[in-house]
This record gives sequence, C-alpha cells and structure tokens, in this order.
Amino acid sequence: MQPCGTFNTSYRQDMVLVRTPLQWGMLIGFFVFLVLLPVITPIKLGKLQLGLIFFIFTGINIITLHGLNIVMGFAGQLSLGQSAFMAVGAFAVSNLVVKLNVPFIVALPLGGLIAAFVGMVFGTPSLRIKGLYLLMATVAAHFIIAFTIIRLPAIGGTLGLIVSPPSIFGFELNTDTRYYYIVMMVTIIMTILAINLTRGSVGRAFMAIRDDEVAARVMGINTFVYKALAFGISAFFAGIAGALLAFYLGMATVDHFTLIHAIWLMGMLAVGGMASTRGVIFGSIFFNIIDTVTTIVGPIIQSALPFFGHEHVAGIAMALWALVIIIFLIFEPRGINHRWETIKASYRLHPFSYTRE
Amino acid sequence: MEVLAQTVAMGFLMGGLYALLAIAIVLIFKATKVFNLGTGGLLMAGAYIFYFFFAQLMRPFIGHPDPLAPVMVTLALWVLLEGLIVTVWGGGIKSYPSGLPTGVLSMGKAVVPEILFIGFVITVVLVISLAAFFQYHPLGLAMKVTAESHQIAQSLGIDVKVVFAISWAIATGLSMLTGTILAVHMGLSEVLPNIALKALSVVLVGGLNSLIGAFLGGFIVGIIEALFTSYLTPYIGRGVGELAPYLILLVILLVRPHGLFGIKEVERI
Repeated sequence: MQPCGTFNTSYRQDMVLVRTPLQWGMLIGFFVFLVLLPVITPIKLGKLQLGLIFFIFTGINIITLHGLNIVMGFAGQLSLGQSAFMAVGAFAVSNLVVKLNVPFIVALPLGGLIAAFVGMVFGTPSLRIKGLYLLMATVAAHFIIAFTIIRLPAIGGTLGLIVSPPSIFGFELNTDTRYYYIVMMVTIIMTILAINLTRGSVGRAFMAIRDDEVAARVMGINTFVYKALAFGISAFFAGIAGALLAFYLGMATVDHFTLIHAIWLMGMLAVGGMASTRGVIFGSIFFNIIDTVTTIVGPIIQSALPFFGHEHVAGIAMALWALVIIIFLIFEPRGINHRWETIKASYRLHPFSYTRE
Repeated sequence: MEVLAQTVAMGFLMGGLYALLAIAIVLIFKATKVFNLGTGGLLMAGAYIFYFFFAQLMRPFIGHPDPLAPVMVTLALWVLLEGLIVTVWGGGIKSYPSGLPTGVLSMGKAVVPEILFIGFVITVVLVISLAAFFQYHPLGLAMKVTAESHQIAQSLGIDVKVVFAISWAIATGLSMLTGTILAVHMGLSEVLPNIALKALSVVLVGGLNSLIGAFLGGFIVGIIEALFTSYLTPYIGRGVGELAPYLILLVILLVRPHGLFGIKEVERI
C-alpha cells in the first residue's frame, strides 16, 4: 500500500523502489549507519566485538535466506537442501582460491555459479514430484552432497580445507571490521538482486507456478525451466553465503553445513514471513538476536551452574529457537513481516485505522 | 435404577483402566520382586508427553489451509526435543545400560544381535494388528478419510480431533519403542534422529499411504543398506551404507513417485 497523496503519473514513477524524500533520507541514513557501525558498536565480549560478529552472521544469513525465499516463498518448491548448497559454494570458492590461485572477487561469483549448477541438478526431481516428496528429495540431496565432499579428497575430505583471509585488490580482509564491510556490500548487492528478480517477469512466473502449476503451464510458462531456474538461483545465493561463511571462519568443512542448519533457515523464513524481501531480513535478524543472546548468556549460566557443561548450553539455543518457530507458526503464521505491515497500515490510516481490513 | 446402571457401568469401565495399571504393577513385581510405586509417575509422564505433542502442537493445525505449516512444526519439534535432550544430558554417544538383552543369536550361517531379532518379532506383530485395524475397525477407516481431507471427514461426522489424537498416540508409542530398541543396538546419542530420516526413504519406497508397503519397504531398504556397507565400503569409503537409503529415495522418487504399493494421487484443478 502506498502512502496517502501519492499519484503516479508515469510508469517510471510507478516502478521506482524509493519513492519519497523521507524514504531517501532514511535509506541514506541507514547506509551511513552501516558504514559507521564498526566504530559505534558497543557490545564486546572479551576481545570479540559481538556487534560486528552479529552483523556479519546476519548478512550471511540474509544472503542465503534470499535464495531460500525465492525457491520456497516465490516458486513454492520446498527445499531442505539450502545448507548443502552453501557447502558446495564454500568448497568451490575455497578450492578456487587455495588451489588455483583465483582472486577472491572472481572466485566468489564463480563459486556461486557452481553451486547454482549443483542446485539445478538436484532441483530436477521437482519436474516429477512436489510438496513433501520434493522436501524428501532435497533431504537426500543434502546427504549425497555432504558424502561426496567428504569422500573426495580433491574437493574437501574429512578434515575440510583451511583458508587464509581473502584479499581484494591487495587489500587484506584479515580483521572483523574489514570483513564486515565486504559482507555488507555483498548483502546489499544480493538484496537488490533479489528484490528486482521477484519484481520482474521471472518472479511473476515463479509466483504463478506457486499458486497453481497447471494454470501456470496453461498460461505458457515452461514450468520445468522455471523450477530448475528457481533452484539454481536459490543455490547461487546459498553458494555465495557459504563461501563468505567459510572464509570468515577460516575453514571450509561439512560440519558447518548440517541438516539442522537447513531446518533453521526454513524456520527463519517462517518467522520472518514468506515471499517478502523484508521478511527475510526480519527473520535473519530475529534468529541472530536469539543466537547472540544465548552466546552471551551461555557463559553466565555456565559460571553460575558449574555442572552445566558447554555442550548443554548449545542445547538451550536449539530448543529456544525451535520453540520460537512453533510459537510463530501457531500464532502468526504469516511472520513478522505481516505484523509490521499491519502496524504500518494502521499508522498511515491513523484516525481511521479500522478501515484497514 | 438409572443411577445404579450408570454408576455400575462407569465403575466397570474405570475398573478396566485400574486393571491395566494393576497389570503394569504386577508385571514388574512378578518378574523382578520390585513393588513399583512409581507407576503413577510413568502414567503422568505418558499423559503429559501426549498432551504436549497433540493438544499443544498439532491441534491448531487441524484443517490448516497451508499444508506446509504442520510439517514445519514437526521439524521444529525434532529440533526442540534434540535441544532439550542436549541441554539435560549433553552430546556424544553413551552406552545404554538398560538391562535389555545384548547377546547374539546364531541363525544358520548368520549371527545377529538378539535385540534386533526381538525388534523384528515386535514389528511383525504390530504390523499385522495395525493393518487389521485400518482395514476393519471403523476408527481405522475414519483415519483413512481424514487423511484424504479434514473437511470431508468432518462433514461425514468423523471427529477429526479424535483421529488426530489416536494416530499421534500410536505413532508416538511406536517411535519410543523403536528408539529404545535402536539405542540398545547403536548406543545412546543425539544422532539417533537420523534413523528417522532413513525411514523417510522406507516410507517412499513402500508408498506414503500403505502400511504393508512401509513393512516391506523397511526390509528392502535395510537389506540394500547392509549390502552397500559390506560390498561397496572397500571401494568408495566408510559411510556409503548410510548413503544408500537416500540414493534409493532419489531413484524411487524419479521412477515411481507414489512408491511400490502406494496409490497414485489424482491431481484435480
């Protein structure tokens, strides 16, 4: 819904993303905030700058979640393979950089493309099957990809691949602050890509397939091509996110990309709200807030209750996040995004908020 | 007179439940000479677990328009339980000193763990009784209708809530039994849920809506996994057996999506 008093007089005006001077101001203000963040972030845990780490992980989650949103939210194909596609991207980029000496800035999109190819291959079952069956096929894909990476020493092997901090044009990304900037830049680029993709003809084709596949085929949409494309695009996003994660942690290993992680991504999408770019961002931030809180609270619990081991604390984070997903699915199945739009609409219509419905 | 009839009938039925509990106590006393005063606690635990799974988690999703939502709740349920268990007991494999038989049986040329054989016998008995239940008992038939459509079932006068409750109770019981048997065989750890993922492959091989399919599919997948483990491990490496169910799953999905014994769903526009 558009703010009151907005009258579009040209197509250009109708399609533009940022409309009002206020929106421009807020956008620029947000960019300034992102640039200044390393200076102003206050939360520290020992030597770790938790604020920065929070934003790095949130950025990585946002990128991969955009991919999952495209395949699940827009194209309506269930996928639990996102975590495995992240692993593909991570190992592709690591191998390119470490073994072939490809510059990081070239290897990153290249790794994304490799992941996209793998995603398309494992997306082909969607031609014949859908819904829950497809979900199970992607679970199978997850285990097959993980097994392949572990069993081929040329790609990864059991121990994984140790990577040194990447450098872009001779600029070493060896501190959290520097890495934060590159993650934020990639996140912004991928977000713009995701928004525009879903606004265009491809996005409309995805939505047509999601709403009714037979009807979409009748309308002349090549469902097979578009489904494979949806999986490919989603894996492209996942691959880039996986590579950024691997290089941040200094290691590409299958242990970072578990099936539980794929379930968490699905949960983030459900909590944030399906089929909306804003929901993706809400979901990632919400998840990372819970994650960070348990990271901070964990050691406190441990020092208060000495018998409570490290691995026990990990369980709390898992249980908490699962509980949040269940609560959202029961009470707000359309996610935070829907709640946000309700609030926005009632603000815009202020004295007559009841006209919203 | 009415009051008397009512009272006696109620007393009779409640007495049946008391008898069931008494049998539980007698069973333990007769076998082990331990008088189990904790029966009440076990009773309560069963009731609460069931209350949590069904009444609090699944009931809001009866007739839910989005078929994805209940599936995601079940996924979250898995993560939740795993999280709680890790919180209480920590990660890692533990041995399972349950006192259940851990010996081996020799059958001809093969040697098998005793517990797996017991599990097999239990499976056969349960499958036959469940199959009969679905085929002949009115409630079994009601379950079939509910699976078809919650709305149709409700308009036919079937209480969907009852169907949900009973099927969840049976399934929870079956999973707990399987978990106990498997833990004796493989040790206790938080990777046990992965076994349930392999069962997905079994379900698809047999067909999602066929009990007999699930039964035979289990043997097909089990045997292929064992063959993979024995014969392919030297060539491909450790873990190839673990992969077998997923390969079978992909193949069966591509070749015959409704499984070997399942009924093909007709897509309507």
